[in-house]
Amino acid sequence: MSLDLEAARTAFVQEASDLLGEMEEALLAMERFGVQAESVNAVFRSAHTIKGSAGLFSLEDMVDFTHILETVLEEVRAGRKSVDSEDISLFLECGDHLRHLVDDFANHAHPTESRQATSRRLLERLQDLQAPRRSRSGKGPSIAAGDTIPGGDGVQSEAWHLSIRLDPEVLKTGIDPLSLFRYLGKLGEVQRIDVLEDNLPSISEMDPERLYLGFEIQFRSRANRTEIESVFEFVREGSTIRMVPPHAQIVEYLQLLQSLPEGPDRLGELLVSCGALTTTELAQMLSLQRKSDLDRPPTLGRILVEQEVVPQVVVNAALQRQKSFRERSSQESRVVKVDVSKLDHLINLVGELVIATAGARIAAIGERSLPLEEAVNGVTKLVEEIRDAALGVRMIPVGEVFNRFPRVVRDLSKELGKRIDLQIEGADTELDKSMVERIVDPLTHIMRNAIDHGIEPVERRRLAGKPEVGTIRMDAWHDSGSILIQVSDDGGGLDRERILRKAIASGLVQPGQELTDREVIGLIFEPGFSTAETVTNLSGRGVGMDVVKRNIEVLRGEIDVESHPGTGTTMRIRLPLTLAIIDGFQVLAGKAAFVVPLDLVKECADFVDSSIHGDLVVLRGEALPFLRLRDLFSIAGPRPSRESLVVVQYGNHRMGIVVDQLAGELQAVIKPMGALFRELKAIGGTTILGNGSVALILDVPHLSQTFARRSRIC
Amino acid sequence: MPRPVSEAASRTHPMKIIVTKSENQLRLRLAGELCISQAQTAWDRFLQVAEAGSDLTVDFASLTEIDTAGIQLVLALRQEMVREDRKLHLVNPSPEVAEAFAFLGRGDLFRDFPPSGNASP
Repeated sequence: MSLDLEAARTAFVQEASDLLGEMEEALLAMERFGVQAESVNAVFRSAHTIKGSAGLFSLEDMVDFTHILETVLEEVRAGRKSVDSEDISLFLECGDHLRHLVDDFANHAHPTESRQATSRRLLERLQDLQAPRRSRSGKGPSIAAGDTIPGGDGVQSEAWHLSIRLDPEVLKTGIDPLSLFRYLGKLGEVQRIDVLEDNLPSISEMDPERLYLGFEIQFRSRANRTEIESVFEFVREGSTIRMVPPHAQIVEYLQLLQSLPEGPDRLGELLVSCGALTTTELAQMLSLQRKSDLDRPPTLGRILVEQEVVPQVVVNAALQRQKSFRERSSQESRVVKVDVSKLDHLINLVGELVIATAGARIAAIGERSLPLEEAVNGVTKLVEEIRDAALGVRMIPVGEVFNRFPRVVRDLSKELGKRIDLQIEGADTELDKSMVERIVDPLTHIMRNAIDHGIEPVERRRLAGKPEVGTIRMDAWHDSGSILIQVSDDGGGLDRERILRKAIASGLVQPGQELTDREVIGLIFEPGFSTAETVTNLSGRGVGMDVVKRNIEVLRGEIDVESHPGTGTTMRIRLPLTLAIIDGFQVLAGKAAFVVPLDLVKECADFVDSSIHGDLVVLRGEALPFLRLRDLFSIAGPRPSRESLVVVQYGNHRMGIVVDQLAGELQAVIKPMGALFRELKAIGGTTILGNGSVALILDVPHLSQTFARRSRIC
Repeated sequence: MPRPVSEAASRTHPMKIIVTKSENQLRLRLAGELCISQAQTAWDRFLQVAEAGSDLTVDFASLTEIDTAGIQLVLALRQEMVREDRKLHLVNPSPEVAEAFAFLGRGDLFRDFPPSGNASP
């Protein structure tokens, strides 16, 4: 395959996987908020685009499959088919299947027999769905189906209907409505424009620079609401612009008519003459209007609510949802896709640049030339900024990981018969790309635990007087050079007694040993520990929290649990923002150089022997645990007459590190340790100094934990 | 999207309205551009002919551009004539004018008079 084709293949795979992600999100939105034009369109668009691209690569299987899927979705979009939770499951499975097909293609693999069998099975089910009079008895109520709204069927028209009443002053701004409508033609086909002269005064009374005309436009387009709205961006103020999507519910037209100045009868006729409504649809609508006129002019939302089709909260949520859809689609166009390997290369070069600059700086100082030193200082400052900017490019929102969990929660809670609401906050908090990829597994495990062990079954929740629907929250936020990711549930909390029993049974704890609550909870991170009474296929597959903890520690992070019996469990993961380059603080012990991450350094002070009390040092009345680097690394030779104390803080732990000499700030490009040294706990990595020598980066999180433990014991 | 500004607003291109009278028939020949920048002037002339009380023919052959303001003026004139039961003929639309009216669904105003096809003055 030629290089170009290979690039196109990569682009297709990337695009398809993005689209499948969007499709899944839209399907979940559909299940949660009912069938909304936005979400159905998003699902449809994804399937349609994948079909088109798959055709370019002659992927017949994929084309055939998406074609059928698209046909069914078209029915849904047209309002001819209602959708229940079971159908959503089917669509989700179809999405998964497409993902597998795309993966096969990416890996140059031919679809296996089982893959083809899945294809056939799903297609059969899709075709069942398509069959017109499918018996739906014995199923749950369908969501927002067209036929559940009396008189609310989707209309036949396949075009958008735009009702446009522009600000009368618009002409004076130099904007010509005619050219706006011509521009609209770039997004689709302007089928028909009707000019309304109803408000045009007699020629003697008119102001020739005011606009009195109204416009009704039939517009066929695949563009979404936002795109169409953007055409009118500059004239929105003072204007009334109403849009009714293709196959809209009749109530939407009703609402449209009631919001326009010309009155429903006049506009009703117009809608029929321009093809937006059939006469039957108009009659249906007018009867609906008469019904509602008895009361007061309804809004679409109110009609739906009054007819008990959807509860108010659902309407509100749906509106919120639409808003976020819109906000996101307006962001999409401002993104450039870059190959990760190019970014990695850039970061490597920046790393080398940082080291080289440090070298230049030392050389410049040796020259004792002030201009040279100043020049190097200028360069150093710029290099620092470049470093930050380059690292910033690699930062991606943690939401990329969070996004997969709505689906996980949906599927698992269904399987377990639990009802769980997932709330996500801080999804736009940024984290280095390499970290994002590596927290997927630990987070998935934690989520599964929360769903499986955390949230209680409905029955037990009811007995405990809790809402039947359990809540799991995922939060992320930045905190002094780290990112915190938190998963909390409102379940039963960890069972202290059971953990203890289990720990005793597996020999982790001696019977009769006294442990604090914290220590008991900490036991869940011990290897080979799993408390599930029955092993389900969700968690308890031999991969325990110990693996989670280890994976997080590999990322120089830490995990912490908080649990309250009866009210829930919170897992908090703290991770550094990046693994590549840090601001460091260089210290010396003997001839060896060490680097402490600067974010963690709180202060430096002179160290005097008289302030030592046992294992603690007293600094301004506060007792701190401390360690001497000389002792830790068994550095030979006499201690200098004056030592310094570096106070570091990680999370809630503060401690002092006693060093021979402070050497100042530097940028440390972290080089991973060779396999041989990976077991060394106190050292997080190495870095190369400007003079070419190697410095060890202290693993402060590990040291502070070790010492916190030690200081608690004594 | 680009901010759509009517071209006439950014450059001056004189509009001419020539009124000729024969028997009980007024003839209005429009030339140049009938756009927002000339709307006030055009309105003055339209108002004069509207008050003249006779039948009217408007010739669009030399009109090279028309915008929404211009179309609105023509529609207002037409309404006035209809109200007073006087005859109004809109004739010889240049291709640009014919297209603009057709785009807004008002191509029928010229129905009896096929486009002239000759846009140059």
